[in-house]
Amino acid sequence: MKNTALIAGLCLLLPACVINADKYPRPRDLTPAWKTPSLRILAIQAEPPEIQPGEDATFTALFADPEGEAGGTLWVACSPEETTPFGCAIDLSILSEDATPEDLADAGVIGFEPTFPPEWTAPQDALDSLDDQDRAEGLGFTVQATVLPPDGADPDAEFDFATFESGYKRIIVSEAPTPNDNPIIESFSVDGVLIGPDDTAEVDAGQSYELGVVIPDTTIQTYEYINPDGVLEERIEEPFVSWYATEGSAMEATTLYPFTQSDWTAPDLQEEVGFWYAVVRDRRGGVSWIVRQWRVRSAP
Amino acid sequence: MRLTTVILTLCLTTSTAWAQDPSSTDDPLAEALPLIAAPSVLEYVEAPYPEQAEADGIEGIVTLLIELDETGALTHAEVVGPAGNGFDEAALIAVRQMRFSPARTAEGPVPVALEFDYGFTLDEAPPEPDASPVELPINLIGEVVEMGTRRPVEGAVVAVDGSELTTRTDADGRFELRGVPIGDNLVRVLHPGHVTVDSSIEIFEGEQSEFRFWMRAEAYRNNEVVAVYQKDREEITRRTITMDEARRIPGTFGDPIKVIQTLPGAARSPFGTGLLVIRGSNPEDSAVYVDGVRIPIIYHLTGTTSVLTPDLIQSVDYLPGNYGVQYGRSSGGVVDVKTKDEFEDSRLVWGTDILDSQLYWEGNVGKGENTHGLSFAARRSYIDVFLPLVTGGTGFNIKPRYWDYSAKWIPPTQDENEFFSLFVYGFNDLIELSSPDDVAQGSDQDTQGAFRTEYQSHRIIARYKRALSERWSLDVTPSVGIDTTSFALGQGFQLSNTNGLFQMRAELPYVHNPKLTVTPGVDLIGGPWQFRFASPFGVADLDDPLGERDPVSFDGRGTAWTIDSYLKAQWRPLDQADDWLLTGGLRANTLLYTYGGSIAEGAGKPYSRVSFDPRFATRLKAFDGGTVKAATGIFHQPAQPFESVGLGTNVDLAFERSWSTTLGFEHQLSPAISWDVDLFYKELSQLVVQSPGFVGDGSAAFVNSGQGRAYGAEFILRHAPVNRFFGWVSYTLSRSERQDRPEQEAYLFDFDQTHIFSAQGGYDLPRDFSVSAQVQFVTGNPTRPFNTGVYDVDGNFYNPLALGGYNSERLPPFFQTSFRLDKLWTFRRWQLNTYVDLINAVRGVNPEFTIYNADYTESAYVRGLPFIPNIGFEVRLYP
Repeated sequence: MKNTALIAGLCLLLPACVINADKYPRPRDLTPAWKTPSLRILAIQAEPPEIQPGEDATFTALFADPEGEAGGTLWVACSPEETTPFGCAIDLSILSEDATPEDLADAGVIGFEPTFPPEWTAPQDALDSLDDQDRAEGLGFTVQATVLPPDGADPDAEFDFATFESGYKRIIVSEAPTPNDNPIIESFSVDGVLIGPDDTAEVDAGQSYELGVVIPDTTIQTYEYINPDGVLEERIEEPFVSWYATEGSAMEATTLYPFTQSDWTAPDLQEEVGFWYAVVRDRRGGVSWIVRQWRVRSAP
Repeated sequence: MRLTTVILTLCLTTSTAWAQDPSSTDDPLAEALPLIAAPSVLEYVEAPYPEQAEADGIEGIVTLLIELDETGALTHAEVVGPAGNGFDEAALIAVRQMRFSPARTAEGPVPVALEFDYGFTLDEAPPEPDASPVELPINLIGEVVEMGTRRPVEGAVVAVDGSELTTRTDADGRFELRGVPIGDNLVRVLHPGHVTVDSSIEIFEGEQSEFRFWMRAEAYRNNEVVAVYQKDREEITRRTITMDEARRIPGTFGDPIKVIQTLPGAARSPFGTGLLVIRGSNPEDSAVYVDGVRIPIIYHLTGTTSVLTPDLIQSVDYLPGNYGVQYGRSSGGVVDVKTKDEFEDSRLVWGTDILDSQLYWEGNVGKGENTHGLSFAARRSYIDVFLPLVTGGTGFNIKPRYWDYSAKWIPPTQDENEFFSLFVYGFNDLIELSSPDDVAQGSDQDTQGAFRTEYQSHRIIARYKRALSERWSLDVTPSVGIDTTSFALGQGFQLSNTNGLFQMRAELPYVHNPKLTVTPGVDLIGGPWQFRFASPFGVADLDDPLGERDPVSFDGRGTAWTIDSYLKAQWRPLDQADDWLLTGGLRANTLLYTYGGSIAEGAGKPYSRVSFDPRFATRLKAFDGGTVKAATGIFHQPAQPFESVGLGTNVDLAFERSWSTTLGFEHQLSPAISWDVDLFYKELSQLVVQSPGFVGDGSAAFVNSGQGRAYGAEFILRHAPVNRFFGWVSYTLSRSERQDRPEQEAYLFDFDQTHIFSAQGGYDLPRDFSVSAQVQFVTGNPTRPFNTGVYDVDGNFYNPLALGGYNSERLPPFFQTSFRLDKLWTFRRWQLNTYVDLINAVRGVNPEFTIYNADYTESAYVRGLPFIPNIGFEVRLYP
């Protein structure tokens, strides 16, 4: 009898022991890679993406910034030797008010948007230490964009890592016989219907759509490469598409060419307005993107 | 008046063999082991009733303390509860002429002390029969058999109600009675440990009737106690859990080896994977043996079950540290699994649960001296069949699958001092993961396609034992085997590895006298190896997402030999041999590695190493039931095989080294309850770590610059399976640190768990129901938090930025409670055990590691095993 009571008591205690299943965030609660509800750098384009020593290149960054959080953008450049896993080491003291343009240039600053568009000239001696084969393949110099807080932000506020946005890419300096170009995105479609740059796609709440981009075959380059055995190879670019949206669900974050479509489901928010972003990378430094706006229709 | 002397009770003074024969030299310090069979009276001798007592009408009960040796022979008898009146002397005379069966533990017959009540009673004499019973014909014969197991019941009393006819069954459970009255009779069958049987039988004139009586055991579960987690106590710390307990712990999936992870010193492994993380050591630093032969892994890749069929396992020794010199090449713990070296009568076992199904048969073929012991086992999982039913709609396909097999043959030997066995076992594990063709697995073009990893291992193990003389004996275990591993991702990334293995362990124990035993031994592992590796890109390509990629492939082949020898001495300096044991030993470790193939271009110099491990241990009896123990020793282990291969460079790695010390105390509070505490300190040096200068082909990937330490306290309080209850509480308080290079700061070991608490127990309910439960609380593993990420636009990934150091924070603690309910159904020729195993019944969240979003600004926890209701059954047929 005593044992029976003990067992019964334990059974009664059992429900009290149930742990709160929502105690910790789950992986499914994380913002997926394709979703851009807040400020984020999505891509940086160098034009052209591959240059020879002494040539110039300009840079553009694609931001998703639905909340308008971005202030200015600081652009810096550095050599391969100065590049870390986090891009160029930035000495923030260069941003003092009394810094001269020469000081900034010496520190590697190549632009300060919106007033000073980034532009960079490859050093004349960039490839001097390389042999002919390596000069053809080239070196990747790093160009980094870092988003600065908006004007009026409290300078004494505690630094918030969640709002820190910085990205970098490499610009190839080479003497390649077939230098790279940025890929071309011909069009953007929703369920096969082309959406122009000034159009706003009307979508139904909760409805699924197939987004697509057209990458012309002619933009996929064939280029020469000398492999480690010294054999000249002709290689073909293998681009891929990164998909982003400010809202919605169930989008594939990446598709590999020739798959250039991705499914997306509109949010259940009537009158909601957002953007799609499709970024094409050719894996050689060439980057292009296309941005389109969508709006959820009102219920009839 | 009729005179009757009866055995009133025959009860063990303790459930364990605490009062061994002092002259015994076998493991005199052996800790109490649960008995699986109590001694029984084989030949009863009736004491003469003292004439004066009979005349005076006096009755009495004499309590005797008797001691039986391993053969059941009486070695000592004394009166501890005298009755006077001549009863004491009469009982002593009678008991000294009686024959007994020996007491048995899972390890075999043991000496035992027990109390024995001998009663003298006076009854009214019945009327004289018309004729002498011996002159009547035998008209009732039969046998008494235990239900389910079909084992003969020896010593059962068969009595015909209403008459003086009574007899006892022999060793085969058979009996015969003369002169049973013609017509209906009520026959009663009685035996300790079995439910009394009353059966109505009809006897016919001039005929001999034959009957089989089925007796139901009062507790079948105790009969299943066939193995223990402790064989002897020459080691400083061994843990003892019976096989039946182990299989009833929730969450073990009925696998006795899984229970190791509830014992002190063993850290919790992620997702219940069964990684052996013992006393702050890496999983690869602990060794697993089967019948003395080292095997690569003990659990299938799912981590849920071991690679050996549970029914074949005789014992499992878990040695968390400071073990003897017979074990080497490891600086962590040791798990030594022994398979059965004798089989019971034929039985077929079929077990099924949500993971797998298995079949096992064991039995003895032939008769008498030509009896061959045989066993066969096979198991296959079906997770690969069920998972696609769950994940089919997603297009993703995951197929984990495993199977294993074993067979053992124990032939008869001409000499009882000889033993030979041949054991074959193997397993195969496969995990396949694939996605639809149009779904990208990230943006890297070279890591697309199906993932597949396969692991298999096969062994043939022979064992030969022989007593060469009164002092010398020989124990040799040669084996051959093959291990293969393959790994593939898509078409481009492939790694395959094959090891041929020859192993031999040989010991030549010499018993100089009861106080000194010396054991020289050889422990050899070696054989050829080869591997192939192919990748669509090289290591350097990972640093530059825009760099042109070139495929890399290389292969290696060679031989690896470790021929170790050891000498172990055990000395018992005191007259009371049980009181003090000193064990010392020295092990010589050798390693010779040769390698060729494309990896040896520009290198290929043979690589050899030698080291010595002195080890000492002592156990000193402080008082009855209390023992102080201490040990210290050096442990060397070679670098892991993949670390021992130079890629275009010669290898120059030393053995990893550990200096381990343990101080402890154990106390047997009562026959059922004991506790044990160990303090340990382990200093690690020459650890193999990744070389900061590794840049690929031509550079050394690993160096011996690592060091570390682990220290802590282990405690276990245990209730042996007595009076329907078993259970234990274990707690480990520990810290383990590593330092990759002397100039770097020390960091916490990846599996450092400050508090490891585990409590489990079971209770046998009436009608063969039993319940068991387990509660675990473990400090979370160390982790390194990331604060944000910097986007690499070309590679389309974020490089995580961490402000804190490596393993500077911890995951939340692990908490899990599980329950299990068993019901055993016993029929005449078979048994059915059904169970419900509610793993993580209270749904503890249990973070296993941290996962981040793409840009490392948000984090969440990947959780451990969810609530798993495992339903299964096991059928035992006794054909």
